[in-house]
Amino acid sequence: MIKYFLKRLISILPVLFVVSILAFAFVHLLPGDPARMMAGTDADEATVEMLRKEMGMDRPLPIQYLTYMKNMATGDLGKSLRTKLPVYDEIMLRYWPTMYLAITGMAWSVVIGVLFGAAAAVYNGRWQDYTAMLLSVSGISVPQFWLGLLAIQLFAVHLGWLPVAGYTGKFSELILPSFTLGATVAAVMARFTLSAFLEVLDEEYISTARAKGVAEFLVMWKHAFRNALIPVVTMVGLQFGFLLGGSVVVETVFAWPGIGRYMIEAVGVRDYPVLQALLLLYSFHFVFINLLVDMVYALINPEIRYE
Amino acid sequence: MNSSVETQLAMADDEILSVRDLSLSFPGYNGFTKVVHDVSMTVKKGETLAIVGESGSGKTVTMRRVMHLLSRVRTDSGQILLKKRNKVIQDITTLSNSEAKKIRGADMSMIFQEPMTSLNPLFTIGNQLMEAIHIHQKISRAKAEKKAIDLLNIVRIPDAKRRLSEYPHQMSGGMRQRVMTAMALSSHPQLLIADEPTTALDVTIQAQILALIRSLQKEFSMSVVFITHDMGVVAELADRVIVMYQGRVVEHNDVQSIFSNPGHPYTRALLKAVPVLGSMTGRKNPATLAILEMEKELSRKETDELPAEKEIDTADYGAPPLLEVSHLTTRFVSKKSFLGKPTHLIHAVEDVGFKLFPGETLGIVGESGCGKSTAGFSILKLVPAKGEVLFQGENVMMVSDSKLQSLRQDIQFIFQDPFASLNPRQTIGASIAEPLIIHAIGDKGSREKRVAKLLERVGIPAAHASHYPHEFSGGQRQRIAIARALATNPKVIIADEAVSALDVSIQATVLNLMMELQKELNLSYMFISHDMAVIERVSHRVMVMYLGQVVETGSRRDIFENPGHPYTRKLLSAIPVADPSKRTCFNMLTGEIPSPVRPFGNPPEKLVLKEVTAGHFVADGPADSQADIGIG
Repeated sequence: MIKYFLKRLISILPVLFVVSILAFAFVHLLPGDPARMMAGTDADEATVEMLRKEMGMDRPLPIQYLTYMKNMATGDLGKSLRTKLPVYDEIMLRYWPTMYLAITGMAWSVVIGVLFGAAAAVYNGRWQDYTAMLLSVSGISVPQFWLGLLAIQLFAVHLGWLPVAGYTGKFSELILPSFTLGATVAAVMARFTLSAFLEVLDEEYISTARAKGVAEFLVMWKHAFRNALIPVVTMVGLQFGFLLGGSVVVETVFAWPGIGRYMIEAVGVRDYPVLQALLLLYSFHFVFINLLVDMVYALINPEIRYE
Repeated sequence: MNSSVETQLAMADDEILSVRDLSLSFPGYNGFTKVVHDVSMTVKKGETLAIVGESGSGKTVTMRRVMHLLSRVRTDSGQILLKKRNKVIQDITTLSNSEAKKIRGADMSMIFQEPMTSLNPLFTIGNQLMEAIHIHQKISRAKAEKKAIDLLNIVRIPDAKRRLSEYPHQMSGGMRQRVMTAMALSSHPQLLIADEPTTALDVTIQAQILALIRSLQKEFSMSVVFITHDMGVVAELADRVIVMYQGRVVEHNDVQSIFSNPGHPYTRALLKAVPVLGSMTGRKNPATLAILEMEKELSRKETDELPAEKEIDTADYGAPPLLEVSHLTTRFVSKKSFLGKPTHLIHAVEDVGFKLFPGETLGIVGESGCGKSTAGFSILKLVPAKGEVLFQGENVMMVSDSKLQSLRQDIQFIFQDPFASLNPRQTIGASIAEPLIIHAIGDKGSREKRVAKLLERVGIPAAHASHYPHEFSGGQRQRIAIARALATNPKVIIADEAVSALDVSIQATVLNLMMELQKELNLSYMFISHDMAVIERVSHRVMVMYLGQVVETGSRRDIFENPGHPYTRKLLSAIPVADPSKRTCFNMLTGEIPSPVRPFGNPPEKLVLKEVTAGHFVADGPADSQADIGIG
């Protein structure tokens, strides 16, 4: 299994390399002269030339890439064009609120989604199934911003149970935005778990378990459930990327001091160093989460564990 | 309870199971469809009842209902009476799920067909065995573990203690079926239901499992219900036989009478359809089977004339060989080191050579992993292979890709699974026309005519060209696959287990079709199969493969009437013969088919073929082949 882990670990190196190239090339791929764009349209030629020198853009591209990688390794992501503050500091300020949001959203949506999906499979064709899948279809179809606004209206404004928006570090502030963020994922997980579970229920080893006289409850939760989880785990990794993307909308609705909103602002003013850094950050997270998923996958599947 | 109910539940003293007028329906889009009609049967103490029938005959459904394993099926009428161990008679049809689970695994157990999927991949063998023990016996963990080891010993699994911590994927199919059997025996049931338990296994492994079930039955004086489609297995094992057809019991008799004096036309047709090993003894050429399609066979009157066996005398050994293969070697990488260097190779095909003459059928036979299918693929470079393959004098291994493409017109494939080898989104007409389009033969009009002609020839109305594969049965699909293979007028057809997935009666008519086509079109077949009886029926010459190498090759009569290699003899002796008066004495060894995976740089020893009589070659060794296959 250690060999498998090492293999997976090594296999992400080329992915990270390609991602870093893309992030580096990002500025160069945009139309026009990056130095000109950064200096602004009304800057004179001398200023642009100075900026170009300062940013090392007069040197050959491979050298620029190496410098860029070296800076990145030391945590130097450049300075924000807008605030002139180091991008690293700017991001760290907003990093944890977004991660709390994503992790909470993921956690509850996986738990609820898998339980709903499993229940729908166990009670296939009965009211539990239809209820779970009705909720699931709603979860997929309702846009996040609207769901967020509805939730604020009901739980914050009308009932007054939870704060309306913003984040100061209290758990109660996390509930509504993470619920909104996770709703779609929960719905996707429910549908996916249902189909995986139903497929497993058709397997011969389920008949074997029943033929042994295993109680129906254990047939479902011991024999079927764990097998059904294997494809679901893969799905979790893919959905995490969706959650990070979704945080842009949710953070805007809930005035959340996170990376998603920061990114929208950066796009608005073409703050290239910030966007470059965020591109890297998002990609790295996605890659590492999927690495983690692969490892969990190996832990629950003996066929890989004993390879 | 009043007395009338009690008399209803009465069973004869020696009966364990009594199914009475059972009718079952499955839910479908148009309401319920009846799949089992008024089925009655009894199983006596200590006897083996075989239920024979083709797919869809209702044999599995009936027995799964007996086990109370079907949730969606509706029981329309009838009773299923089981005499429990405490002598209480129970009607299974009146049981709830939670009541049924106390009986399942305790009073009766079941073994399933697919050893690869019938054990849960996430739990160890020990865990699954001990689970079965704990359900019905309140004993300590240590005792249960000891019992699990005992059970594995009973089913002759060597090194039982270590096996407990293994996962199913670490075991071979035969070993898994032993574990399944051990699990079924864990609470000493009185009734064991075995649903085609050996169908997915190789013949030598099948022989081991059959011997095991037979001896366990004696040891535990168990009753066994054996569901099968294989008349050979029936003859080997059964005391009494029930024949089912389209959800009905059509015949019920003791095993001797079923074979010597079959009463129902269906039973007679079934027996005629089975290629019997040895039936070709003394005959030079293969011949078609004297059988019609099942519907025609059933409506045939006693006085009607039977179709005659047609001798297939097309092989032309005077002509130069169409295909001349030498030193064919195919190896796949099985394991790689950390840096991606191969450490283990699968030696699928090792230095194989043979010739195929015009109009000839070369049967290639062997067990799983012997390389017979890979040899077929290698010839058309569908897998990376080395060696020399001369097709009409041209070396297939050396030609350019475009030339190879045109050679592929002349050599066509038919695969095993007719459900997977036709594209479900394409009409069958389009599927058949596709090779013509690929090789740019004819225009649209002429292609349509050709498709119609081909369909008619394989016995499917030309008007069905616009239908999709799911509208056809397995046998019809295999006919369509044959029509597709014929589309480009090939000279050679490689048939890879082409009839293995079909029911026997359909298998017989597809074999007949293939042989008739050979006669009409002077085709050459490379007929790859694990089934010795089918090989005997269709082949002019036979090649026996073992671990990637040829161990024996010769004319059909050489191989079947005078087998020279110990492995050939073992294969022949492992086959259940469809004649209950000639029961084989399988011994109880547990040998496995050895693996063709070897460490890198350590190729197997090359076998030297010696010519014993003209055209009959037998390999010297391998010496260990006797030890590792469990048939004496």
